[in-house]
Amino acid sequence: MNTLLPSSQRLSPVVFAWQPSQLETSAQARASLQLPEHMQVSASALTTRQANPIVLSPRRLTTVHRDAPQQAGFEEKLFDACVRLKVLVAQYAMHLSKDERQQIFEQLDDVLNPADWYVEDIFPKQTAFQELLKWSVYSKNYEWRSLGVSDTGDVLVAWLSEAVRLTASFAGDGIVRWTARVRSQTGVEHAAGSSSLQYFDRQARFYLQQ
Amino acid sequence: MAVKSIDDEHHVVRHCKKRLLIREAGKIVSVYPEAFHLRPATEGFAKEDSLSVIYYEFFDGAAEVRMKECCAALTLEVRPKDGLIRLNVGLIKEQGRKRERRLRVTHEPEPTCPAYAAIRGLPEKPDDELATLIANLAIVEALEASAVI
Repeated sequence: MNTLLPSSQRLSPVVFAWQPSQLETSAQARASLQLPEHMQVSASALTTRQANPIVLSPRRLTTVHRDAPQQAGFEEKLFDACVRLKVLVAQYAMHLSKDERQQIFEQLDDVLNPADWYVEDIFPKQTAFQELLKWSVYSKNYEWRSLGVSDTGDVLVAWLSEAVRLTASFAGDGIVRWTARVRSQTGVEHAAGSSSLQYFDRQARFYLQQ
Repeated sequence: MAVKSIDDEHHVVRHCKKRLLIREAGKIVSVYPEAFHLRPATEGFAKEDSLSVIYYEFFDGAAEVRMKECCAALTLEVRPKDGLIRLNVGLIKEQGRKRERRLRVTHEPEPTCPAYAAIRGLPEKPDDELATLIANLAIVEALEASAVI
């Protein structure tokens, strides 16, 4: 198996962690995840076989082997969360250019850097990130910047221009909560609302064309 | 010490985790409105009824000294890429009035943090319009923690 690369080298091809219930080859893991060929697999949290002496009868002592996953530290949990989100991106790979995919991966690496997180923080919800991807594919808009995560795990993105600052929060419930600040000829206007994924496409287009 | 309202001309500093900051070319340009939502109850924490901040003018000295003191007064270990967001008290209250909410910013000294202050009156169910007004109009300075620590 390939060794895990440090986060600074986690560029294409994607290297991610896999926690098999038993040791598997890279090819088996890749096939089970239906991953593109270019994605390499490494195991950051291998299972270990533990020997547990168990008394089955008063007269006979026998040893039973069982698989038990290693305790994942906080950093590994965060890394695994990042990997799961990258796997979601891979599921939409046919809709993304190489540059768009790379940009999203870099944003994920940046926002999910362990150096910036606290133990009590809630990781981004997979359903929320998946809705961001679905919306991006539907609207063909990948121009969002500054990927963020709320205290409740909602995924946050922003669009920035001279005239407009638009933010959107994806909670994974089919609704986008958005806010807008627009500099117009009459002054600065503020608005906020919530829309379905589909309708937010229209909202975003309206504000982003200002 | 008793709880006292902070003068409108004064300021408070809110610690903002990196994931709630909006950056452009690596520089903090704003914060997500979610930085001004009250946190609901989680596994480790009770729900918030106010936003914790540090009273800027509690400390004397030049701006850099005050901000450093505010950072040091925080009870958590600040990460270098977190933000220290200074807000004007009068502007905070003004945004509340626009949303027909009476916001209060009070100095509430604690033994572990004599400069502790709180923004009170925020709704339990997030008001995104209020939060974006605060994020866009009440912030007077946003610094990366690494520039202050």
